[in-house]
Amino acid sequence: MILGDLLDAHVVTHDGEELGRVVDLRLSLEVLEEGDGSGGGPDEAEPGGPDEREHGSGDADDQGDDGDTPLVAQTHRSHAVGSADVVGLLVSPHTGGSFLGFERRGVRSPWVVSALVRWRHRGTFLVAWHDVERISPGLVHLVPGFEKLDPTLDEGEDA
Amino acid sequence: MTRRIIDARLHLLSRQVLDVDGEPVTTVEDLELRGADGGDVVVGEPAHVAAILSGPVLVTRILGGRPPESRWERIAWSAVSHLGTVVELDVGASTLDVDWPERWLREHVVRRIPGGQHDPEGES
Repeated sequence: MILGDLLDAHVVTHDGEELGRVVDLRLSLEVLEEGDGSGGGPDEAEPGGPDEREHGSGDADDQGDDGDTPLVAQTHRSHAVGSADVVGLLVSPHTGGSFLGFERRGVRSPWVVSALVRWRHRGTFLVAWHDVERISPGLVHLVPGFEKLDPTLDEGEDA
Repeated sequence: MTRRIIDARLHLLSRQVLDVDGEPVTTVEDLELRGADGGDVVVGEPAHVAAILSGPVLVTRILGGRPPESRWERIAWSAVSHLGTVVELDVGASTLDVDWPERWLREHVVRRIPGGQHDPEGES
């Protein structure tokens, strides 16, 4: 199975009731201990030291006039990683697309983009992988009594 | 052991892949999922990302469908060393099949161009 088989697939209940579309696949990434500090190889944009890899582009620290941090500043440092295990599916009732994950994070700026994307993805929820009953081309069936989980992406916390 | 929660489309798809020397290799076009024993995914049973896939997706992205499995270039997930804004591997690009078009062009086209056998900015 490849990720592309799941993305944008319709999601239905055991009885066939339409719930929405798969917008993403949630993974639990094993983070390994680093022996050499904050990162391994060179960064894609800058040949600087480990500190410059703390942020995605390094130039968005001055945004967020009401205290929220911009998406770029939330970009994680490069982690040494191991396995990536499937946690569940992100399901949106309204659309199959996703825009930078605004709907799953506490980002509020730029306000217009945030408001529009949140409205477009209202009702997005997470379904645990064990609540998936079967997958056929373009269609995901959930088990009876599946649970709608909070889709918020709590980055950096233990799974 | 710490774990970090990520979303595949948000954090992995279309991300640039760099080899152990920081050289660009490809971009993440898709991900291969496998069951716990490395076999096919069984819904409801533990599954994991087994490989990064790269392939001729331009036309299929525009017009629909996806390339057959035989057309995908596969980079085992075990070769991924770091994940940040890019995906970093712990192997060199020359060891990966995904690099073959560049190697072929280098060996069969570029080296036949006058001056194409040395790096003007490197040791010559």
